[in-house]
Amino acid sequence: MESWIIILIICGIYLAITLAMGIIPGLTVSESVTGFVAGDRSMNLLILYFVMGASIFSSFAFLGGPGWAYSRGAAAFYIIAYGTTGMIPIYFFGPKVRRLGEKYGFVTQAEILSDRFNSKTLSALLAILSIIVFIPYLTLQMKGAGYVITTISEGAIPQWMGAGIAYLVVLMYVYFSGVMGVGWTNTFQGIFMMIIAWFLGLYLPYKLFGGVGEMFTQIAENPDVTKAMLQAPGLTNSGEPWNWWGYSSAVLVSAVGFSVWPHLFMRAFAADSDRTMKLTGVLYPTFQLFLVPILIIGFTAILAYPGVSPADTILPHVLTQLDLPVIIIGLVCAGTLAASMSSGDAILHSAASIGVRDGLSLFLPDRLTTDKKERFHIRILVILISLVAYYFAVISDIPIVNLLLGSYGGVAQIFPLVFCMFYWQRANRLGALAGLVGGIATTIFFLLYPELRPVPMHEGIYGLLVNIPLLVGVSLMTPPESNQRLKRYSNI
Amino acid sequence: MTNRKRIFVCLLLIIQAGLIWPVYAIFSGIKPMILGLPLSFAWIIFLLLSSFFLLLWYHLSEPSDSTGER
Repeated sequence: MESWIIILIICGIYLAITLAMGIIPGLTVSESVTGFVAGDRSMNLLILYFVMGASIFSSFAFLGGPGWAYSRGAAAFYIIAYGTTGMIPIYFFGPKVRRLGEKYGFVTQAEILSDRFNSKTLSALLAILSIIVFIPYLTLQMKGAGYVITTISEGAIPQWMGAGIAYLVVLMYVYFSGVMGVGWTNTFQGIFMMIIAWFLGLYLPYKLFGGVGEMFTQIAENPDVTKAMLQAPGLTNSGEPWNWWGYSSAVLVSAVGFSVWPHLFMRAFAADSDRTMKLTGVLYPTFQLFLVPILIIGFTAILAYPGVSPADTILPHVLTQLDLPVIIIGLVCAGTLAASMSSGDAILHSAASIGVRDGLSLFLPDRLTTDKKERFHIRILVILISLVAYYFAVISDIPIVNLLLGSYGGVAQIFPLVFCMFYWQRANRLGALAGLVGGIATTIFFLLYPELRPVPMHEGIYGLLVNIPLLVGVSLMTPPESNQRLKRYSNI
Repeated sequence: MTNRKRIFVCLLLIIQAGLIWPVYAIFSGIKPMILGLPLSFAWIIFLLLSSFFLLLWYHLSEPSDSTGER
């Protein structure tokens, strides 16, 4: 039998196990919307830890991480740097969000923010922002999955079919089980990814150079490799040395935005206790540590396989060059599928939930009068969003990667609102709206016209520089929200 | 603000400062290599571990009346 067929069989078995793990837990969750969106608020530490971790580690981490290290060197440390402090805020607001959700029935980020700031417009704005950043995100995950299957089948399975099969599995368990399907599959896929990453990150440098230290020494001493490869802040996309403005501001914006990504934030509503929520925040860096072997994979290839383009294909490229047992290649491919699917499922589930709860409920409240109807609409949206993302992934040629690059700047604009929700009572509806709209408009402006930036900082920083003064200024100039409302958020 | 919180916020700000310019610029070089990793890489991993232990300490030292399940 040809080796690619064995690899495909391994991936097939993997997909079947994932599907079973995704559908079975959904059978025990209630038929309610809370069951579908927030898993009846019953997630324990193990599941929540992996839901958070595996949602973050997407095909960007598995394919893009080594790609960054390979082509941009030390710039890739940025990916570890922003996660170092980025999840800490969730330790503090996570338990509060969880308790408020339990008390008032919130299941999405926009619901809690629009309640605190007394604004339905805010809810609609956040729903639109979420879906705009989620669709390109999901599209890239699908492309990653399709790419892996096409590469390992040596082109026998086209990209449209590969992406289609992997995401049909995701669609099925998200459709049937909601967030509990996401939870259990991410636990399984997260453990799987970690093992694969550590194995490859230690094995490749050992096999090719005799060890990690020897590998870095050879890179450092090689006259053909620029010093900026190992010296922070590394290189830019085009291979020029990156500047500190760009590096530092990218780390800051991503750290600020990290904890308020709508699909991560809303998992606070699924936690079964404050302790679970807090420990998820505490333990998050242990997941982040798994980027270390991921980056080492990329560094290994600098001397061993120069000139591979595009850089994101370096991991599959290395795999095909080494004489690895077929089983191992199959497992690594399944690991890459795991990375793609475990992010894709969380995004798909969140986008559909947010779309119905925060968007559709404002325009068609009559249609969502019962839990059953609402759940039905969320499921319809799960299918629609899958189809839209699938269209962008395999049919359309629009370069939507650019949209995703700008998304961190946009998401970071939510952070000041979340902070003020609990820690600044004076913040009110108009302040929140002015800050968010001003911040997003500024971010988009500098994303479109980067040459107009006074210094080469990330556009999201400019957004925050407009957002925060507007939030504070407008709030102070207009009357505060009612005491009754504020009390809910201060005594929690 | 309690002393515990003050220490936490100070150390957190120090870690955050260490991740970006200008503090990271001091540790951005290649030599000395630490455990086989270039200084720039080892420094980021060191800060990741520091941030982990900082929050772990903060969590474990929480006064018992404010924890617990509600």
